Amino acid sequence: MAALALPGLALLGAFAFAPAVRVLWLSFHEASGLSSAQFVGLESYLSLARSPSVQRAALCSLACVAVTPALVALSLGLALLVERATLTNRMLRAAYFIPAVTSTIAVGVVWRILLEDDAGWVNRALGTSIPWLTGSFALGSVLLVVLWRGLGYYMLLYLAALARAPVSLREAAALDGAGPITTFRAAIWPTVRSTAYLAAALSASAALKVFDEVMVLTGGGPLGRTTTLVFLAYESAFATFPPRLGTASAIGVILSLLAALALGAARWASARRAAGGKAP
Amino acid sequence: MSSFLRMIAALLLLGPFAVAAWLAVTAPDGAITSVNIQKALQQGGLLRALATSAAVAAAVALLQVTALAPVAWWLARSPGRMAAGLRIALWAAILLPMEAAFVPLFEITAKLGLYNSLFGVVLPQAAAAFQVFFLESAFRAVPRSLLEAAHLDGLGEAEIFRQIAVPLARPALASAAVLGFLGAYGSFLWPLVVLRDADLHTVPVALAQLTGQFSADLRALAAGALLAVIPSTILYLLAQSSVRAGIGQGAVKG
Repeated sequence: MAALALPGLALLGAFAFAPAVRVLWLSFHEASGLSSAQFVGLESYLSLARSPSVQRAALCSLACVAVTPALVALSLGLALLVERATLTNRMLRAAYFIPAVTSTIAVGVVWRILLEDDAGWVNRALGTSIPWLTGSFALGSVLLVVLWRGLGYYMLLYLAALARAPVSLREAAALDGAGPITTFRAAIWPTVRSTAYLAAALSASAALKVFDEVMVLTGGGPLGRTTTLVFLAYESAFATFPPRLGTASAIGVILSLLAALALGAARWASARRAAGGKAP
Repeated sequence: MSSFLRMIAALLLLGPFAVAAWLAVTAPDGAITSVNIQKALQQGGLLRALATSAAVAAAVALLQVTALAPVAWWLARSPGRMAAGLRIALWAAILLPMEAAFVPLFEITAKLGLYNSLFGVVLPQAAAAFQVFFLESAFRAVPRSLLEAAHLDGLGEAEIFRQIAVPLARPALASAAVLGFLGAYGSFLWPLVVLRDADLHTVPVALAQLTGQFSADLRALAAGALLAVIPSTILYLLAQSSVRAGIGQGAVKG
């Protein structure tokens, strides 16, 4: 049996485990890939902290993370809208999910067509000439696209949780004449709470990795205002000479620590509420 | 009220596609035309990119399921220290994905002579740690009594895996394959980094190049986007239950 697992282990070893170790090593070295790497300790990290472009990129990535509450709330609303498994609702669920199954690049191109400065469809429809992608609203446009693409995915996550829970609790609340807010707090939230934390953790860690949308919508501009951390890491490694592999790797390590933090926080919040709150 | 909201949501989530589709099939004067589609397919190189992406995504999905399923099975069956170590390594790989570790991944891929080749696109994407955990949970759901009975019948571990575990976990394997395909079909950063030649480009890379090439021709760009959207949408609609099952079980986005 161990022999059967060998190809998979080799694949994981070469392309998943080795890069994870090597990125840590690289982040403590000054490397360009052209000459041999020099050990520089924490210098890559310290220079990250000092660099204004990194600070700006960190703010961009945090702005992407800030979409999380809206994403978690709106996708729950979407799930509740189509919760009953009627034929219409089943078709709507499939329709709502299509953006989530579409590649980020195709989504980005579709929105670019809508938001382009002069010929863009939105500006022509509104009769305006708002620079959605090149002005001060560019980051907002990127965030909108990130939010738009994520909704269907988290809707499905919620629908799975709602399907596992009995409907009777919610119906009983409705029969008791409970208003929508009471019904939500007493019957819906307890059902979806742990899913909401999971959705928050997943969307926060996905938001930290935003790259594709930026590449297609704004190219990181204007003047670096939409350059996220992954975009900056890509530029450091592939669009800078000599390549700054240590910087790119240190950014990667920081991103992973932040993602781990998001996952840990969601787990902690989920466990704390489960222990403290009364079972529904 | 809620049916009104449902329609608004459908409009907001599908409207952008409808606009792109309309632009793709019309000329500036509003007449229906296939010129934009042809332009995207030929000049934009999307025809070749679509074939490449289908092959790449199928290879990734197939490799993920065939190579990683035995690892997942071994993980589900072995409680020892080796399994615990493997689990930690898998978590580290999940926390340090391609977006964080593309520099060393690029070094390794280049050292293996896979730069600018489709193998270089496929193999790193096939090494998806989250799929191991997803498949492990499917194998854990196989009833113990069945496995013990098979053991008493004299079947070896490999036979139990092939003849009992795999058939019973088939729905999960299908979910993993569909999600693996969709993930690889849409991935952008890695193919962008590892491919140099335009004739090897996958759909997302080719499409991103089109945004520069056709920046003044939104209709051709719309046609390109539409051509990229159609295959993944069709696969999703055909395999909806697999996608739902995969996501409902918490398969992390690929």
